Amino acid sequence: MELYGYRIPKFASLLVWALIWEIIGQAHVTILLPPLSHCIMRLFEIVPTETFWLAMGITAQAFTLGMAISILVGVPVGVIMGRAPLVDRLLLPWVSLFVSAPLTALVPVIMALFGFGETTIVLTVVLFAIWIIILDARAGSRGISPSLMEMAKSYGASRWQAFTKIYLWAALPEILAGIRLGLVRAVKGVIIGQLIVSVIGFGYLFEIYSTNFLMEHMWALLLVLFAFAYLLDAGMGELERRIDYYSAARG
Amino acid sequence: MNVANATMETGTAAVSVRGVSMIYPGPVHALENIDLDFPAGQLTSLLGPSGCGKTTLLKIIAGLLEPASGTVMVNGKKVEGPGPERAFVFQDFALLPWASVIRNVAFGLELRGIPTSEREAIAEKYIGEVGLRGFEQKYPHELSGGMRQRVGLARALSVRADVLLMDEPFSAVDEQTRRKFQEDLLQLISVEKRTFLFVTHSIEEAVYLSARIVLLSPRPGKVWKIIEPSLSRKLSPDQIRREPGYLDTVESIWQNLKDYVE
Repeated sequence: MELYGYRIPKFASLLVWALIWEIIGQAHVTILLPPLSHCIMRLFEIVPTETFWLAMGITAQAFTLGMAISILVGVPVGVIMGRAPLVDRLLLPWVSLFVSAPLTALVPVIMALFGFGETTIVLTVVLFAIWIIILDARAGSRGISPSLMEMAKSYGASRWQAFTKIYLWAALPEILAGIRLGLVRAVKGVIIGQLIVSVIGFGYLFEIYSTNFLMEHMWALLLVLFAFAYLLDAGMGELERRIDYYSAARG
Repeated sequence: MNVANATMETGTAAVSVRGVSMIYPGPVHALENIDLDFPAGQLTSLLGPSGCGKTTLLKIIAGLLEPASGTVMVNGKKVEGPGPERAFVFQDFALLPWASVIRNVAFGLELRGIPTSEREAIAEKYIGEVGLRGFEQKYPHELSGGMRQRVGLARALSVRADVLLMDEPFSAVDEQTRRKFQEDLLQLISVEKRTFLFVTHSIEEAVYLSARIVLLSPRPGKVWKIIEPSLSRKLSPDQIRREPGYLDTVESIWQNLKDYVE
């Protein structure tokens, strides 16, 4: 974008909004929104503490575990759904339902079943992430060119070989897109899960900060989480661009 | 030019087709009662207007489609699915876009569980034979259409099948590349001594490449005429294309097919 002949960098709008935040904060309009500069200072204060790293560790562990389960289960299920009409008929209604359902409402149910521990958080992550991963893997494996499947057949590929050497790879661009969307949903899942359980990880910190009205702390923590989610998304986007060459060449 | 009988003694036939019919849902009678023998060590073309079922017949021989009735025998064994003695070359190449040239060429061997070093040595040989030496580590999207089909051909050669089934292999390749490829293919046939079954809709291509041409009539596809172009293969490619025998055969096939073209 250009303004009066000057090129404006993409992140300039971010600076504008940061400035507005700062002004509103400095003007003491509401106690809920302290100045951005205070929040950032608080960020440097919180991040080195042990409590923060403990919460970070628990969160990262639940997130990684939940995401791993979602990928390891979701991708094969999706690819099989795309290739086997019977399985597809059986599972598609459920997957379509869950992909758009307000899943937060189900977290208390998981909590009732699995308690206030990490299992609940991991399952919440899976609950949030897996459906879109399944759907995208399914779309990818449905789009495999028929001649590639004939090739597999005519050169004597077994079902297992066709699956691992052709279908998975042919569907990879869609699978990665699904994993990217799944990652963003998993961030939501891990935080929502911790907020509802509210005795572990960042959920516990949020609980402390909000009940004690520590708004600067709370915003600092939110900044960390937002940045984390953004970086994950951007990283996956980069990975997808690397395999772009063959998603365009398929067909 | 000779017009041969529809069937010949089975002793020399690598592939024989008996009473094959194919009906697609609709119902569309794609093929009706096809009896054909494909002599070993030669290139036979299936030629006909679109909708004559030539690709269907090739896929039945490949074991990719099951005929409504009739049988196909390859080297005296009944076809009941794809088999290692047949290899297919696809119209749209059907390469793995994420795999290098050498992996694509060796893919048939990879599926058979042949160790990497051994299968890559075999692949190297055929990559050289189709004229792609130096391109082993390239990816399909880095190659032209003609080169991609050379990869497809090398893959089919690598599995050491007796019968190569080629489904309009040059139709997605531009004219200049196609001519060069046809010349190279003739060279390859004389070296490799395998049986080639070649589907095409180009009369010139069929006459130029084939020892025999099977003309199919459309809907339902039937064997209509079998032609053996008598060209001297000793001539250079350019001389062949100007030879009266070549030109006459092309012209007479065109006169035969003309009635089927709107």
